[in-house]
Amino acid sequence: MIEDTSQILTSFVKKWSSHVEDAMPLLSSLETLEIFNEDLDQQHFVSKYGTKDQYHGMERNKSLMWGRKCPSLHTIRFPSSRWRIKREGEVLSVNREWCI
Amino acid sequence: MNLTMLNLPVELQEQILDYLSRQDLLSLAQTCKSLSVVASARLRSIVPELDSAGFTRCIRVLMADSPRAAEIRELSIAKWDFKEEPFAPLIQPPSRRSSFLATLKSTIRKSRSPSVISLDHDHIILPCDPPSPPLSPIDFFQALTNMTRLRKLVIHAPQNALLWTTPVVVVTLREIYVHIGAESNPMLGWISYQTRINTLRVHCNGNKLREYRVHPPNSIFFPSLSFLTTNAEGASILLPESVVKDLHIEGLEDMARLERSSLVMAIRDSCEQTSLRRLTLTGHIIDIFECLKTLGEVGVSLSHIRLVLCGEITESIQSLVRLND
Repeated sequence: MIEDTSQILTSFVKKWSSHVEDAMPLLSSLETLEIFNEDLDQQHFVSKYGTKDQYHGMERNKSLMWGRKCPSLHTIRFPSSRWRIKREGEVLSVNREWCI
Repeated sequence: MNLTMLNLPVELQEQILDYLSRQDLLSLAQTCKSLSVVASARLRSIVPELDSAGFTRCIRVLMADSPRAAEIRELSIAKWDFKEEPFAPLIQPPSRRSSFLATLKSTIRKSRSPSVISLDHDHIILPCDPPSPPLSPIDFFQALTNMTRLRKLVIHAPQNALLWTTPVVVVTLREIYVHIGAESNPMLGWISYQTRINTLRVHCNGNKLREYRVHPPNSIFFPSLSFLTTNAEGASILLPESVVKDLHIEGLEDMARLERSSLVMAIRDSCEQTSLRRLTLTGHIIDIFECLKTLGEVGVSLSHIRLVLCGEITESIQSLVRLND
């Protein structure tokens, strides 16, 4: 079982960061991002690696990471949830709008 | 008064049910008394994927029973074995296609050496019962002509090229989905007659749709096509011929660098004519971001991106699990 979603975020950022940096000229105008994965749906994750809460925690952390990378991003959607990104000054937060 | 779906007019209920799959409709018809009539009617409008014998029986009914055929909105074609007989087109093609059709018909004549039979609605002979003779492509297009409300066509498997040599224009057709591997040059030629489609899913692999181009300036093949799902080559061919707003590129993982370059140029040119509302990319992470990077470099600006990742996350999660051991 995965105990700490921050470790997931660390690995996620490490895996994605260089790619995201490369694509920044395009992503700087991004407002909505949807990420679907053939392997990592919630059911697959819960059955093999963790709990539903941990899965949503991972999606929350991903949303924060994307929000920091993409200055115009306000909505990020995963297969199991949709998050709204709020910016108050330099403080960034995410709220989950729906989940399954 | 509580506002529920059941209070809505039947016409609205029908539109809502349009979003359901055939299996959903079947479940609804069996379990919900209030909606079973509407769901059953909707079910009757769908021809699902049938085996060759079943499809032959279905076409036989639809070609002979126009009122029944007029109920059909969705038609799926799996692998269909039909009788290969000489035939002439039911409808004469527009003049702009004549060179392609002339070539194609000439090829067919040479290969099969038939005498050309002139057919029109009055001369079509309906199959007798029993014994039932096998059907030919002309029978299929007779049935297709009877389907006066057909909106969606799904092609599941490659077909005999003769099936696509009758350039019927289905004026109500809006959506065409071609499964990977089912595409062919004659089928693309047939699709090019369906100028009113707004949704198309087809991959092009060495297909020569350009041969059927519309030459008059400022004219395009598909003036209403706004949802396109295709591969890189298909995008290069179809984007200049449409006003796509929602583009889905599949198979990025199989794309060569040269293909990616032509894809990016096609997207850029398309965006200059019609801005993309959404871009969906399917492939591995590296390929997707390489594509996004190149799009950014040529000045494309997108507000909505959808990523469909293939085959890498399991490995990533497994490494995370190891981190926690």
